[in-house]
Amino acid sequence: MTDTVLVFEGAAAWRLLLGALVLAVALALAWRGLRGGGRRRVGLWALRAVGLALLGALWLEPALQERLLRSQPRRVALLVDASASMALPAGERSRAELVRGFLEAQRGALAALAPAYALETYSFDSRLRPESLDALGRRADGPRTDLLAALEGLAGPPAGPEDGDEPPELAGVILLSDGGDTERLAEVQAGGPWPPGVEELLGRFPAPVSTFCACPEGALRDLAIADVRYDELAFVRNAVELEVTLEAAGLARTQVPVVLEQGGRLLASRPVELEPGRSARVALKFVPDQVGKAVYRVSVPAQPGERVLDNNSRAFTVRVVRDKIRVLHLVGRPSWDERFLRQLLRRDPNVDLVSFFILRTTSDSPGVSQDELSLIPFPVGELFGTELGTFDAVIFQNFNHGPYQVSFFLSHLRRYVEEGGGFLMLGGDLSFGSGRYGGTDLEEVLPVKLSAGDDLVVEEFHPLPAPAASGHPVLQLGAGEAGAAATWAALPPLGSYNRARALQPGARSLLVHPFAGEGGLAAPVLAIREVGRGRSAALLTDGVWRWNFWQAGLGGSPRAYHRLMNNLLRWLIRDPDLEAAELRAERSRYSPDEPVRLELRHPGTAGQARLELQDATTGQPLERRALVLDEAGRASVLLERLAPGAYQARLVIEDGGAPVALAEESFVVEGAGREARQPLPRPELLARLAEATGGRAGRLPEDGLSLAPLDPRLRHRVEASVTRPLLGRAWLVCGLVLLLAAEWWLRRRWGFP
Amino acid sequence: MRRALLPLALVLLPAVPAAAGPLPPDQQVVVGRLPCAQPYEGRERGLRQLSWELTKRTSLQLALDSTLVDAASPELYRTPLVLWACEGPVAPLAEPARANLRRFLQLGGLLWVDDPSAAPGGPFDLSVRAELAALLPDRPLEPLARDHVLYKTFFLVERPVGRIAGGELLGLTAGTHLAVVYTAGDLLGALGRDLFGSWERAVEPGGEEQREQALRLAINVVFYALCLDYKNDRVHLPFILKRRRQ
Repeated sequence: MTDTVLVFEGAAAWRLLLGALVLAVALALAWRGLRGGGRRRVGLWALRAVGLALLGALWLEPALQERLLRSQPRRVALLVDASASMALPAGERSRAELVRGFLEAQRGALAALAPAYALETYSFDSRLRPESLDALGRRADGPRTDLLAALEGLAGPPAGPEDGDEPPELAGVILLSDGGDTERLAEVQAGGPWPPGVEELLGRFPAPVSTFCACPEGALRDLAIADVRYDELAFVRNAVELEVTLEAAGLARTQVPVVLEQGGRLLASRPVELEPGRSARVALKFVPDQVGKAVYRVSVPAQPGERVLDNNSRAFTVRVVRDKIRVLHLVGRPSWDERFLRQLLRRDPNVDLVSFFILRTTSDSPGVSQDELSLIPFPVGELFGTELGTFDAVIFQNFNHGPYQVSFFLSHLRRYVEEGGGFLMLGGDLSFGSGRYGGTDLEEVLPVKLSAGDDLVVEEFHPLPAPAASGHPVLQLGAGEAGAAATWAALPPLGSYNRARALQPGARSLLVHPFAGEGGLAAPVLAIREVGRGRSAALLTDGVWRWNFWQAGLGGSPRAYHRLMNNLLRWLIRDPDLEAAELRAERSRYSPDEPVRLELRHPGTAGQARLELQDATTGQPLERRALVLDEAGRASVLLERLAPGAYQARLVIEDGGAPVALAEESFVVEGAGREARQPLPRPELLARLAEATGGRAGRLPEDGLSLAPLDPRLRHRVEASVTRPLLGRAWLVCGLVLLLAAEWWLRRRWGFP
Repeated sequence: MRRALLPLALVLLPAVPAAAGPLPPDQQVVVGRLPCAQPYEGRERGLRQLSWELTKRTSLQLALDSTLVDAASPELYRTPLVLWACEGPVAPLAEPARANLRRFLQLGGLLWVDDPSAAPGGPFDLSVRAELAALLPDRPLEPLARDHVLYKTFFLVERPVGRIAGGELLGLTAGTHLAVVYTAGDLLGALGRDLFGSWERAVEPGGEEQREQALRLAINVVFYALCLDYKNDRVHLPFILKRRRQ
């Protein structure tokens, strides 16, 4: 078919503007020139206006365009849900199979859409993908369902638009899904409001969306943990509350326990009443007892006939931090060493200090009644029985266990360290061998092996950093003082040390005596050790206060003492800033299709290292991977295609067969994840979508494609055109001359100037 | 916490030696002594008696002999507790000594001023106050409140006494701790014994009971130097309040 349209080939913006300006001035002058005359004046002015307008139109180069048009069919988009929930059962078959069967059955109807409509086929989950008709309904593994993203994808340019042409308009959308949106529409309730912006989006959607729900009624029995609300950051020894939302379908009224575990250890459990068709919420509380990133798991038992079990448990990670470092400080006798350590600890606002000093021993005789003393009983049983686990670190400063019944609790202390506590023993005449710790349970977790008896050696000496220990975080005393031997030599001498027999296996000397030692091993002055999940340190002298006060007297700064003791305390409690090794994942949660990138760091160590991966809930080893750290002590690991689950990764760096640096990181790879948490079909959501866009809602398999309203209007496309300018046409020029002549003649006749 | 306290308080424990014997001298707590304008050793025997009493009554081991320290010397910092007790006025400190002593006090040292004359407004009192004002000009020497930890660091002391009753217990604070303790009633004068074991000076007007109270306060001063505000820790307060009420 053809048509003809008037076009102005010279209608550039500047021409339009200039023409309009000239016309306005000319008309104004014409009006002023025609004085008096009433109607005749108006008529003359109108004649001139028409003439000038025609002249102006000619200046814009008018032309007639003859066009050859071809009618173009509008688009019909067929969208099929390929998210993981489509693999869930819908009676005998899966929802995806139900869709496939429907498409087979409707193949004829789809073919009949042409030539009036152009059929486009897509699959979608979290985004829209072009897919052939044959491939639709064969994939159901998408990690998320985003219905709005699919519709937004359609409103944009379609796949393969022809060069330079506008896409054909949409005549309608046919959407096959279970309605299990996991994104912006996940929380939409039947009859409830739309999320912000959604109503506007649907209201201006260019075509009706007709929905077909793959959701036969009563086909699914399921109990799902739909949501777990929790803070990703918690404080150690402070109660953490989380809220679990359960959704049940196809189940009779029943009561189920909701269980919270960490590494197989039961933390909390509460029963919850389930009512058919209603969600239930339950709050669980627990008190984290260790800092670090931990994996927790909430679960409910499988119900009879339940086929979707992925959603009966959910793992998540919480980073547990300290609000304050809780320190137990036991002192066998007041001393300057004790005085300056107490001052340091008390001044630190991040330390919650609990102190017990032995101010009189069993052999001292104050000569007065107890009521005249400020002394209090030493609560040994409570400290080492019930309260021990509440401390982040325990410090024994020149403290002997014998007279105070602490001997009965040394096994508790050993267990405390093995289970994650930090323990520091400082030297003196009541400590180490002199404190009769040799052969006790506590010696087993100390970094040093002890002599059987008195081991205090009184002599002045300058300790030195042990070989290869200068870079250890504990010895970093500040800018420019990075553990060099000269730094330590410049500090005042120590006045005594407890001479240990040897280092315990896995222990490491950081500072050593410059001369004393046995079997080629310099006598340790400061030694550290990883013990189980905890750490211990031995500072085998009671003279480090000299590095504070004496050093100040020599014109120096007490900073070296402050840094050393702070570093030591923070190393004991695994302060991240004092960790020699670091292992970090970018996030805490990953989709199954996402690779997990781990960044590893161990400054100052280049060479071999090892990454160990284990199941965070069972502790079962899964993978070991050898690594090479670069010159900066860094490496990066990419873990791909991990099965859904909770993982704990551990960086291990070996030094002579013993691990010298450890770092851990936990993360969760979600399974069907969000899809499984919302497994129930949502026909009501699909119906609302259809209603909001002017479409209709049906169900599979009973409804057919004829249900879907499609806009039948055609759209025409210009195939070819011919343009003929009007400027040279004689009739147009003659018309213009006649018009202007008539205006001139009338003006003269009516006596206008 | 009290509910679960072991019934066996320390005082009831069987007598087990806490340590094999006296500490080597280098390991003991030594008191420093600032020099006086005129040579003066009058309170050395009071310090010896205090050392003996501390060893007998407490876990603390104070060296028998004090050490004379120069206020201008780095050696000052080897004895964080320094005594200043002179017969007559103290000699004004030179500026380097004053600066060194000022830093010593600001960094945690404790200056124990004891007036052997027990005479407020006397030469020692006036001269030492002037020197303290020059040392820490913006910090006044003030009486310590009755609930100050110095009254309970070891003994529960009711009032400050020395050789003379009625002497004040004053303090000068730097930061969170006392930098200066001033016992105005000649505390160490009440403790001195002669070579035959007899008390060197009479204690007035309270006699031997007052001498015992003076000893207890002196012990508390030493414990304050070593333990700071330990007895203000939360765990001690219920016990101390109960005993005070009794």
